[in-house]
Amino acid sequence: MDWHQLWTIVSLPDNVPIVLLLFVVPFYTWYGMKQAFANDRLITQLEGDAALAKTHHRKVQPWRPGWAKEVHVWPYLLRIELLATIIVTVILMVWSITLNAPLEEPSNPTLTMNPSKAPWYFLGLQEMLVYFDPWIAGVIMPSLIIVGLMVVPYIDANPLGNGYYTYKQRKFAIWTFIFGFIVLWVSMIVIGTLIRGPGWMWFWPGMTWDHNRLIFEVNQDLPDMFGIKNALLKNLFGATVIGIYFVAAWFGIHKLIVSTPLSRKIYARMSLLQYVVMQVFLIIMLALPIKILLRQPPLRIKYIWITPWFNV
Amino acid sequence: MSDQEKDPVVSSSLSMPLVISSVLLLLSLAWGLYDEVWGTRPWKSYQARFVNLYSKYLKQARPSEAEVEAKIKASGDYQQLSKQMEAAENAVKADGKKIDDAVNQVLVPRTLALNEKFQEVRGEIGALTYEIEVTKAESAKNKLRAEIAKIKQRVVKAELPNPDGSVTKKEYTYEQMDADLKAWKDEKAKLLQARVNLYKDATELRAKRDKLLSDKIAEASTDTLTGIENKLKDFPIKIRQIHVKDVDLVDRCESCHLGTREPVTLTKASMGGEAVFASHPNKELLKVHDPEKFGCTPCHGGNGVATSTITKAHGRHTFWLWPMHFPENTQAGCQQCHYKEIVTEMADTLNQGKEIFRLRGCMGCHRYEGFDRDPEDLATIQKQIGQLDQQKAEWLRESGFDIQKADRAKDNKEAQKLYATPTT
Repeated sequence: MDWHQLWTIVSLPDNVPIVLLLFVVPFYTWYGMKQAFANDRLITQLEGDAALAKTHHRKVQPWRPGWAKEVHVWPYLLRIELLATIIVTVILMVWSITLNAPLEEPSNPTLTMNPSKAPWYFLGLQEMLVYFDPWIAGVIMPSLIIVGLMVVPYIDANPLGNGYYTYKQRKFAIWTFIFGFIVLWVSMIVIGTLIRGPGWMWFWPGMTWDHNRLIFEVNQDLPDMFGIKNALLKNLFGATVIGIYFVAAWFGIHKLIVSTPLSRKIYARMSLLQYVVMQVFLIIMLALPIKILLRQPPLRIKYIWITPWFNV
Repeated sequence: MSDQEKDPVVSSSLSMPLVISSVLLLLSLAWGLYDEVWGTRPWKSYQARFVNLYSKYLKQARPSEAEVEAKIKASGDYQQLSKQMEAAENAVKADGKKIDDAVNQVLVPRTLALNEKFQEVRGEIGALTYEIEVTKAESAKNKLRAEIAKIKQRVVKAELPNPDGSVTKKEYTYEQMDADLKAWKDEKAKLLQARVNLYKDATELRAKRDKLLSDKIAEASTDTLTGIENKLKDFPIKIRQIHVKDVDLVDRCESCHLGTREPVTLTKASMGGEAVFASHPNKELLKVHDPEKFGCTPCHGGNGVATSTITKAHGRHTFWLWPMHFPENTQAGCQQCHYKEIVTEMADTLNQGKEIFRLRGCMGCHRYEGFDRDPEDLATIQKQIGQLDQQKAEWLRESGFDIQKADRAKDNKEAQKLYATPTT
């Protein structure tokens, strides 16, 4: 266990946000879910008692009859937000005074630094480069992430769960978020920052970043596993496999979408366009961890679909 | 208290957290301001301390300086030279006064008086000359020329002052004024040269006497000390940087190392134990490597731009590639340029090292610049490359001309000929 190495990585001014992220993201996810479950219990209670539902306040705070069911934004919300603003400002001030910009030596065109890392917020994308063709990981995926986030409000047909935390009423959205943000985005950033060392090799926390380390990994393309040599056949084979994946994933996700009475109701509210757009984004999102797993032993598959223009 | 008031959302008070966080905000603001004004600018306190210590030292040093000066002035050599100088001065005093009178009481006042009239006329002529230059019609030009001739003939009355206070009235034309002024100027020059010759001995003796004084006083004279004291009274707290534009060098070392180039030699002891304010230990070296032209870091290393901390300024930072040489290795800085020399003046340690390198035969295996012939070979080849490049550029230029000529050729045949056979 190389504690010094660990400390060097963790204390780098550039990595401080990531270390913070390691604690803050789980904490607030837990905190939000705790609130959501409390709300869910209240919803169940009020759904079971029609009389109470008419008089009771619909929030989890202790509430007694006679207390206002609603309070004004000013001052009751804004004063809390003001407090939060002040505290965050103090933190940022102290942070900016104590930790300086992580500038390093003048760049040397004849000697690239190793590991050569993007700013922390791009490390998720950089980590994706391990598993995908640069054209996919560097251009298609980032564009899809942005477009996908823009599309979210237009494909969300669930009218419930606005303005309060709830798990029960927004299971699908929450799991999609956890999968997309925490699993695919945050964890990739954490891996890119703390795990990837010289040569972009995998170093567990506490391992010495040895610049002379050598690992032996042989990748293969999926068509090679089946002994396909012809380029055209490779192309067609890969396209077929991807096609099969799309169809299978489509059915799988559809099963998930119509799995509960509530989700069937939401599905019924969706237009064909909304549904297709959502399916396409979910299928592509799901492809990311699948491709990551295929890249691991024992399969070690580099590309599935090889074309002269791009590889998947 | 009604139930309404007990509702924690409505009734709970946020005053305490608000007060605490506001105080913290103010504190962080104060910290930020301190950091901006002082924290990241430690040179400010260095400069304040320097003024304080330097003034104290001067006050302390001054009486002894004055004592030494008085002692030298009372010495036999000095007195003798003084006497000789006075004697030489007295011998030529009468003649000198004659010259002074002639210059100061006659020539200068007269020149001033006449010059005023002369300039007036010359101005008028100048304006008309300009008119001639911008006028197109020859007849108009001639008219103006006639006018100038007329002005030149105009008679001007001048009042020339005499040494006794009376005034001589004289009538002048333009040409006469010009002639007189020139004559007086020549005469003045002649008289002043005569005066210099007259006082030659006395001046030489005075220089000899003053040199005796300045040679014997190790430090600056009392006059210089007074000058420094005045400077310190109004010492601006600011970044002091050397900027050598040609090589884009910026060295701010003297923002803290304020004593480096002071005329008074400052030591760690004289500056209250602060080595940072000591003068450069080798003033002779600074004479041949003027800091205004060389800066500091080219010899010493370090980050000349950084002023926020000692570590950063001295380049002892992970990411600074040229850290300051440690004191025992200071002369490594000389080697950067003087690598071809066998013996480098004022660099004893370096010379010792070079000698060991040579005598012990290190150079047999360890090739090093200055000890092998590679650089010379390289220089020769580089020269050849330069010459070839120049030739190539010339050829390209000439063939460019041919192509241009071909582009403008009268017929196809000629053009083809030019395209096919460029001059080279």
